[in-house]
Amino acid sequence: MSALYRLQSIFRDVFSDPRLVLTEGMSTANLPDWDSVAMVHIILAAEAEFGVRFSTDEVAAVSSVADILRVLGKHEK
Amino acid sequence: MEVQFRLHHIGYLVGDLAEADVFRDRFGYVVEGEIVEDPVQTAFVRFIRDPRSASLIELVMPTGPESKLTRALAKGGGLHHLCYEVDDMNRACEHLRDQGMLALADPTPAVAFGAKRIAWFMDRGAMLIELVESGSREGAA
Repeated sequence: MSALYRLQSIFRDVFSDPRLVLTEGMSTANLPDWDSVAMVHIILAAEAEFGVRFSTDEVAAVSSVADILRVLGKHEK
Repeated sequence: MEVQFRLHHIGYLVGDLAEADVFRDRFGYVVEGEIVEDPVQTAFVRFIRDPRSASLIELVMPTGPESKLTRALAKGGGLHHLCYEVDDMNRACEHLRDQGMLALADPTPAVAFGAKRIAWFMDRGAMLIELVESGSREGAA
């Protein structure tokens, strides 16, 4: 199962939208509901799902799905 | 729990720091210290104290339309955060992370507390927590 697919499940839960199709281009700029509270939900859920812990610098740098995937990829190495 | 958290103040988001007059007239609070611009919160802050107890309230007013707090104020403002004083900032941060809270920024010196370090955390319920290191402070004291 790809990381994007697993993240999609998280985003569907956070935004209560079971039909949401996640793309790497989705960001805080084009998802109006992706506010600071949603960010906390997403990061904490991603940490639990992938067994990683984001640093505060990594959290601060996240503003898109691509950013999250980049952090997850870094932790996989 | 080895880390001790002592309630330091309650953050209260307002559109005007003159709200201090309301707390004075209603509950007898007194103003403590000067108005300070806090670049971390992008706000002007002023502390008020209940003279009959150690209870502090931090009135927080966004510095302007670009403040990160303007949106929260537009939603109504009011009770905004709880601040706890801790002796060991690093251990307190680790504890809150282990307890399911997300650090919003690394500990950083705060103007409102005489350059003592503060840190911010939020949980899934949108509870906003500020930590401040213990010790003497040049700000509101």
